[in-house]
Amino acid sequence: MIAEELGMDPMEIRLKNGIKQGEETATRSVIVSGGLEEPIRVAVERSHWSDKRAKRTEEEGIGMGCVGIMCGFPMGFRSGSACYVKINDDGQATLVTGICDTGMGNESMAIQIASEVLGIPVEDINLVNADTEVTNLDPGAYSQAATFVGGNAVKRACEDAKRQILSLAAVKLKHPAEDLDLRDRTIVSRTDPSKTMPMRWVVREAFFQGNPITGTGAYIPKIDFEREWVKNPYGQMAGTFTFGCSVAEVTVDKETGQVTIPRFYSAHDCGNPINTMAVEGQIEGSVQQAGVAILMEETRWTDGHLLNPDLLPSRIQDAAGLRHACDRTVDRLLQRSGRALRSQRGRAEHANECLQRGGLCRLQRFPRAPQRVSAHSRPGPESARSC
Amino acid sequence: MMPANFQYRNPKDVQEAIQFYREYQGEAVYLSGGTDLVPRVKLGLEKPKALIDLKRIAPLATIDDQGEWIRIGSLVRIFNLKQESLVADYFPALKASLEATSCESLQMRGTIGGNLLQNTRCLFYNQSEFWRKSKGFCLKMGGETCNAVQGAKACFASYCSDNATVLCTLSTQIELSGPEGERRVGLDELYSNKAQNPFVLQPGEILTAILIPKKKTLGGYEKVRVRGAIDYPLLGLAFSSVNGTGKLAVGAVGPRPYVQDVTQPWQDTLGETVEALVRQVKPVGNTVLDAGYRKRMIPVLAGRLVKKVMEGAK
Repeated sequence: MIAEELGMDPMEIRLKNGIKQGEETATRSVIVSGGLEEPIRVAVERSHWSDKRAKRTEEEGIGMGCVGIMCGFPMGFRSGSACYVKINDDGQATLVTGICDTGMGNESMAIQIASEVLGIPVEDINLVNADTEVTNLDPGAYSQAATFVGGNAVKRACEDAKRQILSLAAVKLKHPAEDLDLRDRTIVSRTDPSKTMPMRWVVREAFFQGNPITGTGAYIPKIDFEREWVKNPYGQMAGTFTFGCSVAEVTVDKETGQVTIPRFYSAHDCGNPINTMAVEGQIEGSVQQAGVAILMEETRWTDGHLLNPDLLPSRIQDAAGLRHACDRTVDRLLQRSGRALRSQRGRAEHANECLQRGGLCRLQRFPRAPQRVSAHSRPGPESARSC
Repeated sequence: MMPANFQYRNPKDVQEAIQFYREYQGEAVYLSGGTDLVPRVKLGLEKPKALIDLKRIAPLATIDDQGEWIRIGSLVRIFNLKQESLVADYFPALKASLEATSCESLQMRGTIGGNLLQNTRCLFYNQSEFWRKSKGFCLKMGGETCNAVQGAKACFASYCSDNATVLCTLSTQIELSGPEGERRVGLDELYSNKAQNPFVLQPGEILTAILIPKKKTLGGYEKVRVRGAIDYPLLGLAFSSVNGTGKLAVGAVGPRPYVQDVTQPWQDTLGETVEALVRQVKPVGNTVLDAGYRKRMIPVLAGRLVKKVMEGAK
């Protein structure tokens, strides 16, 4: 709306004002990596934003929305995560971590990280997680922290175990530990192919020496624990931040008020995606939940009674319906920046914001139900134009 | 939500089904696909002593070309019916409404007979027993007045069969079997015009078949719903035409579909026909879309539908 008032392209106003790496937020949190610029540029390029915006009509518009979300948030002593890894005498590993999984793939994420660090396949890793009888506290599925905080703790614990294995292997192989690595259940040399040994031999040797291989690791995001909401609302409020930009093509049937989204683009800088498929699923889920639900989801009340208390009259888009609302498949863009481990989670807000910008920005109420759009577009032709 | 206890019977033929109905002295309901009935039983809107499951009665699930009529057994699944070449060739409007009925997984469960005999719907009525008790029972539940239109002494629930709206444009007849014998009536005679109790059926009567005159028609169906993949119609417009004249019907805005003849669909004279339809409908604020919007969309969709069908015929 501001861009429209200023006669600016919504992309330009975001690029000018979007926060960049190294800058501080209004409450003095430093953006340690990422920033809005890259996601905006990727989304703009892939959606052919400028061409489509130039060709927009009263019935077809294109809109943009952005999101920045904190990742690894202060939650007192629950801000950090700890992990223990035990290397078993057959070369398999057991991970003990507080990471919990409510369907987003966090368990496989933890195992993938351990697999990569320890050089053993995922099927050799046993996971004991989210059981306070045996695991330490963990942020849980909150503050986009599972990969960033819990995943980094797993990485550190496995690196600790790896160090112990390689240092013992260096003695057995008479070769410097710095040149050794773990690959395919085996200790290998980076430079000398003859220096190799099964990992389980070293694990058993450690056991005989009375020092079984167990690694520990913890990660606490660098946050300002003095910061609080009222008396001292300044300081680093999250370990890092994640940014995304979405572009929606929107069509409006001015007579019926039906809104469709022929194509939706989402570029989300999630850092290094551990499980690409899971990240794509998160982004698609966000588009479905917010990007499409914004067209239909609402609570209707009558004299204090909720008229749509269940999933039949409460309009939440189903998977099959996504194809009806978005005529073609959701085109997802995943930017891989390979920086620190950060949140895998796509966020709903940017999709939300995006639709608000696309086509229908003068409507003040949600959802953009056909009755509202239709009523809104009756008096004049302007209302369907994108801004 | 757990339904109240009921007995389950599965008769092998229509006569046995009627016999079971007699045994329960009217406190039984017939079950076909169950996509309407089972949620009603779970919500406590029906508390039958027995469900008499008709699904084992194979003759009810056949489609016959009788020469002058196409006879569709009431237990034919919506998904199977929409794939019948007879339907596509002769009744394109029906093909469209079958396609628009709910979603494919429910089409595989639901039957055409059950779709016609689905009860009327209202946001104030299709709720759990807990909800309805807290709000106070409406007319349709045995209360004093309507809850959707406060103080009204009439029920404004809507009949939401997509396919009935189309079948009303095709001069459809239905066959019924009951304790008093068999009868065949026009589909329009099925409706009582009262949303509270929308069908004129004798106790124990079973809808056994739907008969459509075998004439090649032009036609189509337009539907307003929020979710394109699943929802009941919030408004349905059907149009079928034979030899230059046709019928236009509107559904989901009253206790029955309303039908008007369209004498010259080739010409742009729909205005009076649509006005006549709009005068009959009584949408109220008992769905997720406003009544005013649904009424306003009748001429819009009717115009589009007839234009599309007649242009396709050229």
